[in-house]
Amino acid sequence: MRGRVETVRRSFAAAAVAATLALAVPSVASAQAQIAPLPSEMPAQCAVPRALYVDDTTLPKAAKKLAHGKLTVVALGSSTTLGVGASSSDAAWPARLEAELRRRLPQADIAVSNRGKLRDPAAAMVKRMAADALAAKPDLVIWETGTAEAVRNMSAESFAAALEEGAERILGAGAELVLMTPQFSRETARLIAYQPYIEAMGNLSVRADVLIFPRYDVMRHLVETNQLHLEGLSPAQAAATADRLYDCIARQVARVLLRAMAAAPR
Amino acid sequence: MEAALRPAGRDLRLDFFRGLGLLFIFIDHVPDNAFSYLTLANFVFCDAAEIFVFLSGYAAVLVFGRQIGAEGTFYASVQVLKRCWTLYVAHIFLFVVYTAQVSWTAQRFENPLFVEEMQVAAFLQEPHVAILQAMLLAHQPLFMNILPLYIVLLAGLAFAMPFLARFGTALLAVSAAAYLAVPFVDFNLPSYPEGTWFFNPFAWQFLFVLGAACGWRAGVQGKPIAIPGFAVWIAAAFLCVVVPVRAWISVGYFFDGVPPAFAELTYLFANKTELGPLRLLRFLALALVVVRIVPREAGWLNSAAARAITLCGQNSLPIFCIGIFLSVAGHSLLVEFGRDLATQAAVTGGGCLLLLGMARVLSWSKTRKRAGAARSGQDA
Repeated sequence: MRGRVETVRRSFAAAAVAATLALAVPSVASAQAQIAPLPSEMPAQCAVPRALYVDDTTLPKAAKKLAHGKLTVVALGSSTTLGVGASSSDAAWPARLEAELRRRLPQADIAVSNRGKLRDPAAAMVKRMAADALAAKPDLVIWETGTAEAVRNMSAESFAAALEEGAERILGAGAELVLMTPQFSRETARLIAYQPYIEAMGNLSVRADVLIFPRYDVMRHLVETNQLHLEGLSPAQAAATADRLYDCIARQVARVLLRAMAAAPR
Repeated sequence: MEAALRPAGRDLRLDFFRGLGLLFIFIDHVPDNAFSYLTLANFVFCDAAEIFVFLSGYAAVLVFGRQIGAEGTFYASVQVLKRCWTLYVAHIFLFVVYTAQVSWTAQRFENPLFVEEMQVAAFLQEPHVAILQAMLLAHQPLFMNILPLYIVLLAGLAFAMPFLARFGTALLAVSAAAYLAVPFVDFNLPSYPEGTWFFNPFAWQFLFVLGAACGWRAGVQGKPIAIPGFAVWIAAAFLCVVVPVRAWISVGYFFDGVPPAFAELTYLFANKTELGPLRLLRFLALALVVVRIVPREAGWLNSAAARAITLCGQNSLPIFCIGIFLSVAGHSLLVEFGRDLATQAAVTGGGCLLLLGMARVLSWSKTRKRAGAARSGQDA
């Protein structure tokens, strides 16, 4: 256990050192390893066809709250919600989502809080859900999960049961729920069987009328269309890629949320 | 050739359906494969694993049970244990292949975005523990969970050998009792680094034992269990309800129409780890109907296509291992070269053809070896 924590700490440290280096000494960084520009100045590289978002579930409650000028969102998740690999916590997708929603809805009071925790399986998130996510009385919970289970080859049935319980609690607390699937890369897809877990999320999505954000498919599309390169990166490039990817995910989530709220019956 | 295909009046259906199950296992293990929707799992709430375990029990007793009469119990038990050893070596081989793949990726793919995902390589940091756990069958990454189950079940059979003839019914009762107790006592073997076995052997043994019991009656005692006509009709009626419902649930879009409570209930009782009662019933119903529809002497079993599949069933261990290997390779191809329907068809079709071809070569080699042995016997 200590070994694992140590690795993460080391990779964190590596990423942090790399990011600092790149920030402090831009002249040292080669043309390839240049630090990414601030997200707002970024090249698009985040084109995702509409056809990828097949789920037409709407978010009527959130739409209503937004019409009254306020929206409270909680991002519940694991490492990638926390923002592992990014240059700062402001570059994690929940922070970028908040910025993007505020940019697109300047009149509204929008808050997205980050409740990501390193390597948390769904069952553990259900346990900390009440205090961590629901105490803030969110209108919307974006629940990023499934990775820890897939990595450890845990029972997909227990995962489905945990999802079910979590969804019940979130919906029971009066919030609406969006499920976010795991990340995609060619390397990890070869070693990890994500299918059963993504399927469990899809099942719940259809059954409980819960909106799904197919991050796995989005990243796969980005990789396959050469918009996202994940292999053979230097630490500085990896940190820049993380920032850019988190920003892209945030923009895509904003797009899906806004569409789901716009389509809600009034 | 004919003699090799039909050793001592062996029931060809056994090998045919085992072969079919092996092909399904390959297809189902290629993620993102649209063709996996055509396999059993999406229609009957039970899948190739059930076929494989039941028919393995049947085949094991058929082969080793006959040896009890001919060579004695001890000899037969030793043969079962030798078979276990072969399976064990195959499992360790698959583990080595998997480890090579993981360490290769871990070396080359260092991206902090995937810190959590690369935990899949955590076992490389404590190889002394990981190797030991793999040897103890507790480390079952990716698709390495079927062989450990099969090994444990066969080892159990080796020790049950002396009691098969006299206490068969009692063994069956004990097995059923253990199966029924599992959901209540929640007992399973531990796996590494955490959790429990994907296929709970205390639950799945019942299906293996049921297969063994049928094999014993039909193959060793020579008086197959007579199935009353009404049982087949009940089974058929049951399937008529189950198949559309399962297909309906599979086609997620129509899921909205299934009452949530009902859908939850079906999932609760179709638990794969503990071989949920629905899975068991569905498999048994399917088996009853198939045994009735396909008589032992069905002509098409001798057709070229059926024979090719039968050969897979007759070489089940190598075909299973190659299948697992091919599904990993096939998935890599889909990940690398896109996953349009044409590529999926190419990967699925190509993999199946490779398995069928491999089975043919293995059988050919076996026949040659036997013929060679017979010839040298004559010479001497």
